[in-house]
Amino acid sequence: MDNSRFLRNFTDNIEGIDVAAITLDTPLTHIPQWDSMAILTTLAMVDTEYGVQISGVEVQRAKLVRDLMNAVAAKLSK
Amino acid sequence: MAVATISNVRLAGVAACVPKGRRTTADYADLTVEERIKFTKTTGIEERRVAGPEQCMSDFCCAAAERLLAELQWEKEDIQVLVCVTQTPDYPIPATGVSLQHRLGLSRDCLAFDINLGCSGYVYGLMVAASLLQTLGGKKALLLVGDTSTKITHEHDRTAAPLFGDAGTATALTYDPAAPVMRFDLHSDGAGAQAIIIRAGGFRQPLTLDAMRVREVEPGVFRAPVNVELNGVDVFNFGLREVPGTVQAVLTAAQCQIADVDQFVFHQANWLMNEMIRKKIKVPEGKCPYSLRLFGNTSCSSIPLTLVTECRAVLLSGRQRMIFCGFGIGLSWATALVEATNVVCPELVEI
Repeated sequence: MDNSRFLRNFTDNIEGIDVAAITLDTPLTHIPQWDSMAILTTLAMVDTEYGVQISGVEVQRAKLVRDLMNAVAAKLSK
Repeated sequence: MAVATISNVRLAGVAACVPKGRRTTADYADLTVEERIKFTKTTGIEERRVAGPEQCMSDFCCAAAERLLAELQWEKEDIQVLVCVTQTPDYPIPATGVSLQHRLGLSRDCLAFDINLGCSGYVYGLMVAASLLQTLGGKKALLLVGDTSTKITHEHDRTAAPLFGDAGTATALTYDPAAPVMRFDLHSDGAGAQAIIIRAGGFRQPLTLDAMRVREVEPGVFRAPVNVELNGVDVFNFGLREVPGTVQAVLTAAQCQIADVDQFVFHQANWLMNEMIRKKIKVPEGKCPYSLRLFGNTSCSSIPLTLVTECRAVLLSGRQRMIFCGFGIGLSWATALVEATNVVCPELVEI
């Protein structure tokens, strides 16, 4: 998993996000634009870019941007 | 299931009816102004129709069926099958389909019943009605499909309420040995039952005063156990995972390419999800009509409503090879390949 590519895919996909302020260790709850619509567009991005799906439970469990990336990486390694 | 074929049954007509009452996303106060803009951009929904307190799905189906039968100039005694698909019936019992037999003045020799399905329900209903017509070996069938989802969704549940609109539809099928075959692919996955559910009001969790009590289930989201609960993430993943395969299965069975199909009419879930599905199957934009913008997600009505509001001109212009694909509550998903020729399609009815 290319960390910087995941971060770029993540931020590119959420409108109005402050790209410079977001790292893999940013808590999702600190991103004002992280709402139910952003979740759906992220799921769509993960499906398109990585060809896998992360579940509702995995999204709920994710605290940091990195947790989302790890959920995707876990699916890719299967 | 393997892809099924049904011969001798022709799609003769389709009509739809919506309430006159409108709600717009722009006026939905449970979302901030920014959220409303983002909601419309993501879901494609600007407006939806909302039934009045006295209006039921049967009223919309009845009005659509009356208009359709008048244009078809069918004799009512020739209708031997009435299949009603709904999750918002007039009464818990008896079945709404049976009352519609009487309201429409159909013969007592007409069999009538309900099917409890949502977004996949149109394709299921089409297969059941067509199979019965084929088995009976004659005459005509009516498929009455509709829901008033706004009545089961709590208006302050901003995760669900702004998505749903109300509608009722009527589809006419006729026995015709010259009809091209219809193909069907139907699936179920009850493991996903929790994804879209009303928890109370059945017999697992009976209707009590407590079941009607509204809770704040997460900050700013209100509903009672008698209201619809929607897990958007799981439904989204389900659609992306299952829909491309069922469409492909039907195309393969029919030895068809995407280019051989004129219209792909999908259940109108939301724009983002439908567009993701469209791109996965590689269907060109112009072949995927949307009624989402003005009517929202109309549950089982969405495919026939889209036919009436978006495909009427092409239906009236001649032969159309169409894919219908519904997916959602159950979880349940289904695809049909139907060749439509000389289809009667009245203008949208509003009551």
